[in-house]
Amino acid sequence: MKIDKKDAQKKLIKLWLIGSLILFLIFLFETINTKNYTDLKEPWLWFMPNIISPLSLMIGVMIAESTIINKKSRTVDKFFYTLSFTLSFFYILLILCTIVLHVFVDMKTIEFFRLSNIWLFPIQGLTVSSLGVFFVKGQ
Amino acid sequence: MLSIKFKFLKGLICAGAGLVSIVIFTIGYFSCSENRVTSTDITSSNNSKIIINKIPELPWPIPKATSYCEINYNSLCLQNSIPKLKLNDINYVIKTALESAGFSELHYYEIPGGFALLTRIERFDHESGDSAPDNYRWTKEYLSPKLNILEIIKALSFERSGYFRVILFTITSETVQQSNKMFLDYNDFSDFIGDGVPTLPTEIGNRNFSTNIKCIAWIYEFEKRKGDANAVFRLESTFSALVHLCNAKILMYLSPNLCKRGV
Repeated sequence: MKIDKKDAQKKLIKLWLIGSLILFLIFLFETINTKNYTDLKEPWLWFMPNIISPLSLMIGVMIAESTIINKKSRTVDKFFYTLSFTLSFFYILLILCTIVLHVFVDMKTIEFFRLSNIWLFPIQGLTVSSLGVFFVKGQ
Repeated sequence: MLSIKFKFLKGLICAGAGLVSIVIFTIGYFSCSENRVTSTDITSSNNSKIIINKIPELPWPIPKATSYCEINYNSLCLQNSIPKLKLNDINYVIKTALESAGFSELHYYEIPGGFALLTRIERFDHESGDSAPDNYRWTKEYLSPKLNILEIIKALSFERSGYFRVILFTITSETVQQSNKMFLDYNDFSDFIGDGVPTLPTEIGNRNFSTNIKCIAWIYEFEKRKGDANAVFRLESTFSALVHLCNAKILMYLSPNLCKRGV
């Protein structure tokens, strides 16, 4: 079964934008709630690459494609779309769990975030690879 | 010439031997005297009265506190009039107030001109200053939020701290001074203070009370941040010592009028 590539791209970008916004707002809330300003820099340095890298790839390609005048519609296998969407959703959910559940762990927040890279990196790798089908292939 | 050299060498050996024997004798003498002191100690330790009345001395001057306040005797609920009072009466009032406020395991120390009473380390709420609920009031462990949305939202922060306090009462006619030594954490503090005894020895308790004797409450605040092993000493606090005593409900039993004015 085939799906229009442009539609798939738009849906994926919507998911990432909404997910990132939620994560960003929670992170901002945690920042405001933190009284010791020395504790702020490192969590943000951890957070930003996790979200910005896939998002900037998607938005960059989307903008680049919009400038190409090509009326011919392209399709991709729906399996890839479902895979990318599921992996993206799971990855965003994992980051959400990490930035909320650290309050239950008796460990310095930044140490816990660094530790979380153990489970975030493999999923991030898979997610970015699957997104490549929509945002890199055929450029 | 050779005989002179030989004589000189012989003299040198004799002097060396003499020096060695002096050193050996000195070492022997001091080790014997140490033994003598030990045996005297053993003799004294056989006397049970001495053991009972032995009370650890609090390091003097006392460790630097976060805050302090003097408790006026006129505001205390004392049974007898001041001229008839003994230190035991003052101890009874403070001890009863502490026990009513939930404090147990009190430690007594001897200080010049009186005694000191130290409470167990207690967790308190940083925003209100109230004692923590009983189920985690006396634990120093990290507390994760309860599984309800409000608690989790409140706890969402990159740092989270538990706040603790220790209260030291000094009852003495001497001027109490604070040392310049700063404590890093609670372990450092408790190592320095050492263990006291659980009751006030009668020898000190039977001493007469005079108006020169002042009762001062010294508050030592500690903060244990998430992921830290030890509770770090806090030199500055948002609460005054009076507020601490009120919110720990000590002053409520000790001096209700003072508590009303303090809060």
